[in-house]
Amino acid sequence: MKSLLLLLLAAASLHAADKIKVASLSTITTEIANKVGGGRVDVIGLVKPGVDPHAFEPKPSDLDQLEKARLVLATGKHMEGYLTKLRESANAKADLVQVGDKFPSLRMKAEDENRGMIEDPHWWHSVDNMERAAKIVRDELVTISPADKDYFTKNADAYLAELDGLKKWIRAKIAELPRDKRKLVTSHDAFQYFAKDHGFTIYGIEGVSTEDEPSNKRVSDIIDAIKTQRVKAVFFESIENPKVAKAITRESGAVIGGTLYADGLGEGDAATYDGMMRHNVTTIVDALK
Amino acid sequence: MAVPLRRLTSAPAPAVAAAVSSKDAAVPVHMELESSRAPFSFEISNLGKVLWKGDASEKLVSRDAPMVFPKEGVDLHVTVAWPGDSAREAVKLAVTPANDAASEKTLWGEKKVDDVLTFP
Repeated sequence: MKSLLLLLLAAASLHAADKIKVASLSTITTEIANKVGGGRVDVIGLVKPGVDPHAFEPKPSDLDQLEKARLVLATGKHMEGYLTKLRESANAKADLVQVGDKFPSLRMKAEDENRGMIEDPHWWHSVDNMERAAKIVRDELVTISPADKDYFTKNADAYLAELDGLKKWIRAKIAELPRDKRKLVTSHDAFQYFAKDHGFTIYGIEGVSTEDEPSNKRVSDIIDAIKTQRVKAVFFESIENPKVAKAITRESGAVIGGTLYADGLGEGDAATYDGMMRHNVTTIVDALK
Repeated sequence: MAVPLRRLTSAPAPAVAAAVSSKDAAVPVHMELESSRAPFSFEISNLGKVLWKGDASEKLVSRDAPMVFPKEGVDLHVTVAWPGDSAREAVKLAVTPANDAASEKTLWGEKKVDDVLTFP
């Protein structure tokens, strides 16, 4: 009996060792890797839910995880500004895939005028981009383990079907909101991809990064826009300091519409991509109706 | 951030209120629904309210309905179902607001389509 138990334990540890180790630098890519990789991957999410990826700095223990990984997933489009430093520090042999770099970007003016036009890194707010990302991760995993091609393909197909259902739900929910009321004021400019898909105009209080501070002129322009465009609500983000947004609501007469998840997954009902998007869409539509 | 008291207490200008009420006025809109096969059942909603619903025995049905039609456009939630086993079917919705150009969109599906179309 004892030898049978030892045999089972040995088999289990061998199977765990066989799993493809994936290190993920975003809660978004962590979900994709888990959904597509299923039981054949061991995913370590270095950026946890609720952590601001704009301000994230890897710790020495994160370097250990990167060195053990076979695949490192990042959202790309310059979101992970520390990547060069990370590659130099870690003795990593893993394939680094900056998922968002493999499809087109929306560009935007940086808050700091010296930076000119920059790529908007928040691509996951378009479900179409999530579908692209799932296919990219599937193909990377198949390249690493061609024997698991059918398994990864089946998982990816199931995830793509989930995303398709989510996309339909979003379209139907947003259709409840008149197109002339689709004006979104948020505490940082993270919803361009969402806006493009659904006909919203964005007034971001900060620039593309949460580390950007809004200028007085920008704040004043947003207050004027809220008044002239008759925008009903201003939204905060889950990991932002809402001080400026609160001041804008006081001066403009708009109400506080609720909290949105901009930079990745959160906790509770926003712990999954599906939950995060349903939370954001419901919050926006119900407040602006 | 300082908040001037007069900006917080002043009433909205009457000109703005007038513009909004005119913008929110409904206009007659002509709708035509053409299916690749009859019979079929359908429902068309705007802003969560059903505008037009029925069972069609002909491939082409039409109706006029009042609708607020801002320059930014409207989203119409369209559901069409065909009875029995059907091959891939198509349904075209054409929308013509009063004194404006017609625009049309097509949906494809098997047995049922359920999606949002934006006009114009």
